[in-house]
Amino acid sequence: MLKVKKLVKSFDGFLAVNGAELTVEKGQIVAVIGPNGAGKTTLFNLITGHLVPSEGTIEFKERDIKALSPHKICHMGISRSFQLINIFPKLTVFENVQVSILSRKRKILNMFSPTNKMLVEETYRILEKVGLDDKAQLLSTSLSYGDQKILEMAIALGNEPELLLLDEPTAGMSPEETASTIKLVKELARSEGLTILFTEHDLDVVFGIAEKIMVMQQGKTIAQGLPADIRANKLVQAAYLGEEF
Amino acid sequence: MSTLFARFTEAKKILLLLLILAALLVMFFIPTFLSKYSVYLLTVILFTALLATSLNISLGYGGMLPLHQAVFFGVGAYAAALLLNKSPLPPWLSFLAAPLVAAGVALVIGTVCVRLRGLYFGMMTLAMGQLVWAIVYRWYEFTGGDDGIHGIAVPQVLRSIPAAYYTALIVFSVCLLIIYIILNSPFGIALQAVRDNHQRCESIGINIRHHQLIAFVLAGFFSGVAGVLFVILERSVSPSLLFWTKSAELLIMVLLGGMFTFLGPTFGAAVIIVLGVFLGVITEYWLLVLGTVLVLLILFLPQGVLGFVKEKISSSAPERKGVDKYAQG
Ligand SMILES: Nc1ncnc2c1ncn2[C@@H]1O[C@H](COP(=O)(O)OP(=O)(O)OP(=O)(O)O)[C@@H](O)[C@H]1O
Ligand SMILES: [Mg+2]
Repeated sequence: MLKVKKLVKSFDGFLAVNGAELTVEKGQIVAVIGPNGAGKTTLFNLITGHLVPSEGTIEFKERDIKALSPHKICHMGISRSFQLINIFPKLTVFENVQVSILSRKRKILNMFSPTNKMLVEETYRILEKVGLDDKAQLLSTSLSYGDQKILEMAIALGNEPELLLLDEPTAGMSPEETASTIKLVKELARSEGLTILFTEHDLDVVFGIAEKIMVMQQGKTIAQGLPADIRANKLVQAAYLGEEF
Repeated sequence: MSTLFARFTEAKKILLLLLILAALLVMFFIPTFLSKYSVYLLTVILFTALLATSLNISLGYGGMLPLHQAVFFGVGAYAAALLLNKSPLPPWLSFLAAPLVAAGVALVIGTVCVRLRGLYFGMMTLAMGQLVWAIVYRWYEFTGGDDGIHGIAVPQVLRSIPAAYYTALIVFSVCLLIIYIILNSPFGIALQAVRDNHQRCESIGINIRHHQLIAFVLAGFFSGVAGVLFVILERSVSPSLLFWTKSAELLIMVLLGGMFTFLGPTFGAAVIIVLGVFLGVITEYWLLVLGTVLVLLILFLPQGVLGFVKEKISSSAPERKGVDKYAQG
């Protein structure tokens, strides 16, 4: 479904991504791991079109998406959540998700229907799934940090993506929140038939749900494969010296 | 709890509607008991309020910084004046065409400016707007240059202050209703999403430049409508209508009323105009007053007067909006 080859991104000569390789098959849950500054977020930004690669190719469903703008890539079926909270602060929780559904259904140029009566059921369906339905009418910024992270994900779900990118979905969460979020991601993958690509620092989480793992170090892919193979990989062990596998 | 709340918002909505109807009723009978000058002043307030509200489509709802909205007001007014005086079009067609000319100019300026962000966007609107002003100011044969155009051929029936007032009242009400509907449509919600977060909007599939450009053109159109109302009232135009200080005044009106409230700009326009009348508009002093208002606002009421009121009303409960669960029907 997604093929990334020899991807390079240079920021004024600094190679944030320098030879990233990644293949994601339909229906898989794939993790990208690597130390801080390894280039994981930059890789995501390249895939979603927020950054333009310096070299290499990105193919989604057999199509080159390298030069497309983010909104076009979204309409092709890739949606994402962000590492740092990135929501619509002056809109309600409900509207945050609703606007993403409106966009998917290409209704955002409709100027004459009252929005508060549109797509109510669909929006609540997503909010119920992630457990934010009772907070639907709150202003999004009045949510707790953990709930805002969940809203992050709910907005992405509004696009009904085929491929969902989650950039550290549990960053900053308490252990309990992390556990329930991971459970949620697993459920979503099953119930919605989603393909998920995520980054995560907690290795227990990663090995708990990933069906495939790609390891980055200093912008480079140093290994890619099944969790068991990654665990046994010498290069990975060296990169994660001291951590328990 | 949630049904109670729903009932509360329902009641609030009905109350607001009644209030608006009452206000319109009073406004309707005003020419029968107020002085001619007061009616004239109210007419000025009405078209200025429309102008400030149109600016707020871009500013408060679209997150753009149009530093020179008055250009579209001026272009609308000049277009109406020129069409009435020099074209064979019937007057009502001239009145309809003038806002379209303003929207056309907004399309040109907007296409260039939406590529830029924040202050750069603002500086570019200012520069291009002043260019339009310079053209109007210099092109004697066509626009009358700094003399402006006087004795505009406004139809006889509209040539009285009450007639201009009623026209302004009707057009203002209809335009505000349309703007309200647009801002609460999917287009409007997406526009507010664009204002809130560009990056996120792109990743949920919204073409932000495209969206902002449409909003900018709409704003230009309604500013042009305000320009037509000006022509009906004054029957003369001059380049000062599209000088940048006019735009600065508009920005202060919007900030004063509150740019995240729908009626804030209307309120701000009324206050600033009344203030101007009481203080007697002597130019240097006037700018000083406006400057002082701006400083006080930034220090004490950054959300504007109506923004402040809204905050007070909703501070008892966390902010909610009136969408009831499964209200679809
Ligand atoms: N826009 C930018 N301009 C310059 N350098 C950048 C930019 N974005 C990222 N970098 C640099 O590229 C490197 C990779 O950053 P990136 O955010 O992709 O890492 P990451 O793997 O996501 O790290 P973390 O685990 O901390 O989120 C970092 O050294 C970062 O400072
Ligand atoms: Mg990162």
